Amino acid sequence: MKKMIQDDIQRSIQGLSSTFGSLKGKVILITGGTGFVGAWVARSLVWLNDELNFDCSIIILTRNPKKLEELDPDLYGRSDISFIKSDIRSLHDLPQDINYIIHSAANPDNRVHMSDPVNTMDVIAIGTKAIMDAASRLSDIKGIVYLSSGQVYGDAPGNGAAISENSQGYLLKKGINSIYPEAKRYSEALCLAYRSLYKLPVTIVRPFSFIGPYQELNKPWAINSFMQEALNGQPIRILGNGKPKRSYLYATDMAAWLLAILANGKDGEVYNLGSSEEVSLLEVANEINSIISIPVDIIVKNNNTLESNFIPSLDYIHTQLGVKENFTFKEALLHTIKWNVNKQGSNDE
Amino acid sequence: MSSKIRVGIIGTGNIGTDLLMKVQRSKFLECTIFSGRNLASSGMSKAAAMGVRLSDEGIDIIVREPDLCDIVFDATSAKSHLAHASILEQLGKFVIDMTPAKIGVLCVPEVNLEEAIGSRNVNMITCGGQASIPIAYAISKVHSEIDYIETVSTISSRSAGPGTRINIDEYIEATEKGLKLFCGVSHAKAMINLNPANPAIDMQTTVLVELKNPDIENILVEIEKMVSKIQRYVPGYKLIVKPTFDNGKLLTTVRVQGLGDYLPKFAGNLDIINCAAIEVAEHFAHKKLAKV
Amino acid sequence: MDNLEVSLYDVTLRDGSHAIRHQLNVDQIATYAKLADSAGVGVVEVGHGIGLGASSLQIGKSLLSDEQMLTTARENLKHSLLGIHVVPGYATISRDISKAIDCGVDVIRIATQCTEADTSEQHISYVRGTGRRVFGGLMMSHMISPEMLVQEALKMESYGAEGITILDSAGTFLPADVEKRIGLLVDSLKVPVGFHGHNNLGMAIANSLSAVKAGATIIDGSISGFGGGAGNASIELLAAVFSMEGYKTGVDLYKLLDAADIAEKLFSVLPKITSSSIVSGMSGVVSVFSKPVARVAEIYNVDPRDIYFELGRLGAIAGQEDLIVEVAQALAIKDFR
Repeated sequence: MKKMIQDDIQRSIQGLSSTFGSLKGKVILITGGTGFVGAWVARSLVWLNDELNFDCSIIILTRNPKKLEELDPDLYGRSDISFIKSDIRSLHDLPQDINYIIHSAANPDNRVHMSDPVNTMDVIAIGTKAIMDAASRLSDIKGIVYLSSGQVYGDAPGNGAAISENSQGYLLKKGINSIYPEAKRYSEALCLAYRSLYKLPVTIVRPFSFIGPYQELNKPWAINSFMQEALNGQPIRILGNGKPKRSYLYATDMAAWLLAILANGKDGEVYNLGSSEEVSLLEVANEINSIISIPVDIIVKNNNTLESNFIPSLDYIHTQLGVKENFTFKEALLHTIKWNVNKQGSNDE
Repeated sequence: MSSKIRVGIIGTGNIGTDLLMKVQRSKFLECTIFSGRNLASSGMSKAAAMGVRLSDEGIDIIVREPDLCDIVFDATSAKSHLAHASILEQLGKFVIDMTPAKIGVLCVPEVNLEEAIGSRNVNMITCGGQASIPIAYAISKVHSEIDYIETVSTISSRSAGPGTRINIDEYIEATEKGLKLFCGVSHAKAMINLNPANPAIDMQTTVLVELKNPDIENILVEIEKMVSKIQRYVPGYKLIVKPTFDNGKLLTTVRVQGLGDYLPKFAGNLDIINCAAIEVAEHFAHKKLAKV
Repeated sequence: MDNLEVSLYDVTLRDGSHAIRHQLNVDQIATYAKLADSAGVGVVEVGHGIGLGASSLQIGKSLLSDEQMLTTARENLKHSLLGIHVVPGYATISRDISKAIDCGVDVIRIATQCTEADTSEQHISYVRGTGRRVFGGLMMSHMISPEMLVQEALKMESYGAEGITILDSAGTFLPADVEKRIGLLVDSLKVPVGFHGHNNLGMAIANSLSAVKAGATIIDGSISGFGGGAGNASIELLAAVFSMEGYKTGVDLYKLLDAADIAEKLFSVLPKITSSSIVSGMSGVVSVFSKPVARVAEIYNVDPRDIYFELGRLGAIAGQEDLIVEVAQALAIKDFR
């Protein structure tokens, strides 16, 4: 598995690495560094250090460094990675030598948003303020990337079109569904306020959907549930009609694109991060079945007639930063399933 | 020389903050460190206003400065306490665990205070356990033949935070373990209702047992004795339905109104577990001070 | 587009348990499960009235253990799914739910008081992980505004519930109340919406019809209304009325009608609307209190109707049976004075 991951990182990053010169020898802070996004950025930076002598120092801010040890022991034990153990909300001072920050701390699990909404808002709003405050006192800060959320666009557009960064978004529903996106929206504005006041070089990224190794299958998103059901030998249950379309960017592409934004993104800009390859949920289920050794039943329950698409427009990031998808959805899914099958196997032993 | 024993509190949520207020009022205790994760929380700012030393390093501050305190209240979560317990044991701290981790000596002060302070890790079971076990224990003293006890607690919806809600099974398991242990029964059942009524209702707990020939008079005597003992540290603990027998089933109900320190009065469930924990800490402190 | 399919969720062997003080026996479960199965209902829910793990002195001990009830039903179901009702705070995952799954349960409905949906996160996630079907239930749904009800339902949906049923546990809704709530839920949720009626005010069928017209696709009922308090919506009546209105339930009406005839003998007592149940519906007190209230009113010689209104004022919920004694004692003292 290690080899697959190294190869995948290389495939995603090699076309871009020549534009990453500004990151060489720099100190990079990742908040939420034990999460899916944060850990993948760290993995890619480590690859640049190992393969291309980038000599970056990586600092991971997390409440619990041990979590990374459980998740990925190879990453945990490295000399070019150090930790700041802190709740992001009570962070005061950062090491003065930090040059870049990727701020990705926030739990994307919507079950948590529902059960603990106040804490969810607190971490996003107060946490972002704490980071920006600390960053404003750094002497040589060259770039800050804030991971907001594609959900700030609100409900998917009725016409199914891809959502561009200029989209005004559709009004959010009142109530509990809007807690996470509204907190993210507030934090985007907060970043821009710090940019305005202290001239902090902040770039905003709006992530959509990703898949890849190290993503927990028990997360409440359709594709994760499908994979979990299929790998357990249970039928895949599609609650709706299977027609809504999503797109999934593979983990190593996601990390490479984030590094491209960090190195070359314009401050004050907003970039969508995701894949433009649309797949319907039914196609997702069928693809999973074509990969696993013993296909399972697919039950389309037709509980609703929703056909909403939630797809980012990537024109801007493609043209501005020269990034592209290096993995088709099929390949991304294949690698993700391979990794999970391998993990299942080693757990059973 | 200070005439008080120094106390550390880890976890600065509602339980931790209310404990802090009770500690600072005590003749035998003083809080020397109030440690959590988020300095911006309302518990932290309350503690800051009281002039208490704060930390956002959780247990790590006590690891770095072990001389800070002798007693540690762990008001985090069962999962966190499992990690904290061995660290605090190595540091030689007297630990009062407020979570349902149930790895230490389970304690209901009116039943086994001496045993508890002789150990190094005391577990306060659950709020419902603190309210119901003394009553169940009083009944089982009169009727040792009882083999099954159940309790049902109703608490105000607003007194249950996200931690309790997500881990409701933990509450049940810890309360049942306490009932079995203290009453010597082989089966116990604990149930909990969250009631959303507005204005918020006070916590109440009913104890039910199956009996053939109940000695109601003696049961009442034992229960009233127990209630008055508990009222020493929880003044709002009241017997509201005296032992009542119908169709082979004996039932009795207590209501718990809190002191209204940091927590509201209706959260008697949280108040009683904190009062019980302070009782344990004070007794430990008293003994220690007497020795010096 | 009208969704013209409605799934009938048969709660006879669960809610009916209240009507006979939780004394369901093996013969009743086996016989009725077979009848419901051959009539083609979607789900047959089985267990103690308050669900899994709720057999207790407080609410009433059931004659059979959860395991005995489930195994008996399992052996007699071929097509209908075997369901259970689970209330967090009564049943735990390790003690109860995992065992029920071993007994072959197909559908698990995790139900909470309508304001407490977040107590179901662990349970719903757990069941989802096992691959069994999991629904959410919001009980005493009259206690909060329709808008708040939607918020709580969204929580359950996010945890992985594959359908959400609101329960009119006190039988207090009128058709317009149901229409408003179901309509909002259908608009806001991606998963199917269901309704569970009680007949305290004689509205169970009208309310259920109002629910399907507003878009509900799962409707609870029990044979001849055999359920707590004044009973549920009669499942055979639901089948009849829905077919007249053009909804497909997939059941064989004649077989269900036959089952109703047999049920009359099988369960011996069928619920009816009494003066107490009317008052219970008006005051919004959970239907399943009817038996304990009647009993306690007799002991303390107070008017059961006074007990209901006082319980309603106190906002009592199912599981607070201990409160009945307290209220009756207080009323008895007041009367004496």
